[in-house]
Amino acid sequence: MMLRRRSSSCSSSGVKGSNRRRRSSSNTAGFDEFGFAFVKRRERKVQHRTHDYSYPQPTAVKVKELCELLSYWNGASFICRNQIERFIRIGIPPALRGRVWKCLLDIETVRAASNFNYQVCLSEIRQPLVDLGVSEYSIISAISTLGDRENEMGSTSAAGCLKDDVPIFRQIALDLQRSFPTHRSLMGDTPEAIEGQAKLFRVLTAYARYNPQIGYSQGMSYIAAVLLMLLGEEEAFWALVVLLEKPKYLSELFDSSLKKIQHHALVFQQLLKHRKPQVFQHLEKLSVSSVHFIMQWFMTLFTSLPCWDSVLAIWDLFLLHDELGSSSSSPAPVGCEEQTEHPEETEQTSAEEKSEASGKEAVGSSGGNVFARMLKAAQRYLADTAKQSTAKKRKSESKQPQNTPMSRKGQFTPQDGVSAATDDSSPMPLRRLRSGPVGRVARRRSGAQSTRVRSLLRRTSRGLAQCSTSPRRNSCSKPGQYEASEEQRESPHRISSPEHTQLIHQIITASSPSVKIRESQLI
Amino acid sequence: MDILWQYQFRIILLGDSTVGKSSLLKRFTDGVYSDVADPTVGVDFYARSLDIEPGVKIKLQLWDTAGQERFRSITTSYYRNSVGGLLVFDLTNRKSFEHVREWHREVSEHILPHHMVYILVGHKSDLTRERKVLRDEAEQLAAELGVRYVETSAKCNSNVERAFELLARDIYELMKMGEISARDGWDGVKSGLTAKVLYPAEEEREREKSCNC
Repeated sequence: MMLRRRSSSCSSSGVKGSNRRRRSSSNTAGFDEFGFAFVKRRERKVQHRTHDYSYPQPTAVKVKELCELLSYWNGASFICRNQIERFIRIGIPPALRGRVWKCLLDIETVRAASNFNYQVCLSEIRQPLVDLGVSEYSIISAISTLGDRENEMGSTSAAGCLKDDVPIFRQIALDLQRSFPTHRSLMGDTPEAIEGQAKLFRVLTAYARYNPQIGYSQGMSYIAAVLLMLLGEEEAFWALVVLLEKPKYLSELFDSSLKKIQHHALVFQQLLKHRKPQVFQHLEKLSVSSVHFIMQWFMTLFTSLPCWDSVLAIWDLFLLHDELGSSSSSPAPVGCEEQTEHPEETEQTSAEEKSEASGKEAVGSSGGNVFARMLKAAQRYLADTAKQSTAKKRKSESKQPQNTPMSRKGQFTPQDGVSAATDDSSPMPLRRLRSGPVGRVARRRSGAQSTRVRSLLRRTSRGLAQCSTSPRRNSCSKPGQYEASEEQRESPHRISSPEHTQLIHQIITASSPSVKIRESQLI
Repeated sequence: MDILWQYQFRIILLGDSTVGKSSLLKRFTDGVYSDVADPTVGVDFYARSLDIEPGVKIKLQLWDTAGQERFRSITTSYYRNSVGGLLVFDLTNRKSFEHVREWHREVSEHILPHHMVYILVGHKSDLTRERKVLRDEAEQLAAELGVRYVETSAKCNSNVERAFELLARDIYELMKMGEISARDGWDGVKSGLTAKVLYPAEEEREREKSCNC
């Protein structure tokens, strides 16, 4: 906890370095690659989203290949999904991400199959709103108007049909400006932002109409806003529907009972206890329960993480893996998890459904849980890093080979690519990936993206150093302990199973606004 | 872990959505303010220590709750383990003021037979023009509920420290009087290692340590 103070006020050398790099960019007003505004230095503590992104992009040939793949996309086809996974590993070019997501979510099919009409719904909503003197384009005044109207709702006949909706609409309106307040599409009162907020309002209100049982819950605005950054309005609406309704994604998560999220938290707590007892004890001591960060992570779909390219990479994988893939790759017996490092949150859902079915979230039953594997992998990964941290310093970081001898010896054998002979023990998607011509290509290519992942990792940790602000002016500290962790952070991030480790690393260490588990605490 | 506080109070922030609970806490614990803050999803956690009187350090564990009704099922579980509560409303939002009574009732009923020490906080006092709640009204409500009243602004850093300090002091006084005491299975108040137990030299060293950060 104390480190946070240190990193912001006293700052060790590593932190200073990253601050300097950042300073140059923040002076130039504008937006980063993903549309987040550069902020003044003094505000950086509270607004941490901007970064200087510099990760290798796929070559033009690959981009062309991806475009071709998307043009004959068939969601039901294994080949298509394998191919797309290959691209996700390389890194989807931001310009094509919208198309990829559309394909992965299969929006068109869902829209075609539904008898819900987005445009009709909007006009249904708009009419009574107009009667109330509220427009989605004047959100600020709308908030107070809606607030006032909530009281007199009973008496107003025109608003009768909106009676149930008004509290929801009001809550949505309140959150519009607060979801990604530094993103260009939602920031301030530029025409772009006004339109952006109006779109977000429409998508969320339409969803509240689409599923009145769920209505609107805080957290959804983040998910919808991300979708709107990449998709058209109506597409974003349907994408939201798919995400929130399909069992393989987030269904039930936003139920008014919030049972599912609490269940997730309990499972995570158990996993933490058994897999990472030290972290668990530390959090216990601080009275931090997993629900505090789990809610942030899941209910905003990891958009609380500081590095946007990582968030999008997590989304790519999340959208790709459905229950089929995950359930086949999550082994029932506990002992098997050695071979499975396949951290998608989707899997977790299914794994937990299983454990729910078996009655308790005992560790045994959640052995196939993605977090078990994440923690395990993170543990090994960090142990490796610790061994090397003293030997190699920042300079060698960029030259670090992808597969060090240690990882070849089997630390991450399943993902190691080179040693593909042990196919049978690996999880389903990877097995598929590794056999046949596609597998060979994938193997070759997965090596190519190590730099990107490394850069992601570096940035995450830098982001951590910089934005690990949260509060906690806590007077008790062990300075020595945290110095060590500083050093850790500067140590080379060796990638053995690049993308998986990256995800684990980010999910576990990346800073959520509420509670940040640090790398140092994981060791 | 070193325990450098004598007592730990667990305090919860309550109030409608967008009244500024998180901003208040960020100002108090981190000294920063931003015009726009992310909505709190679920429960958030902050901490800061206060010197309540010479030699007595109180650690405040602060729980920020989501204002949306939907998260009530989660946030209620934090009521019981809190010794103090800030009832926050927005001075520019009449409705949030009217809801204070409901918040008070809900929490008080939930934690029966125990009690919580409250303070009523009128937030966003810098927005004088848009003010919808008069000071008198708020004071009247505070008197009715038998709690203190403070007007704060996270933006101008006005009275923020005072609000938390007043609450902590009230709790501390009640504790000295024996009205409140640490009990098993309750995290509202915890006592740490007291200064008296430490040898003076050791205490000195501890002090130095805490200065380093």
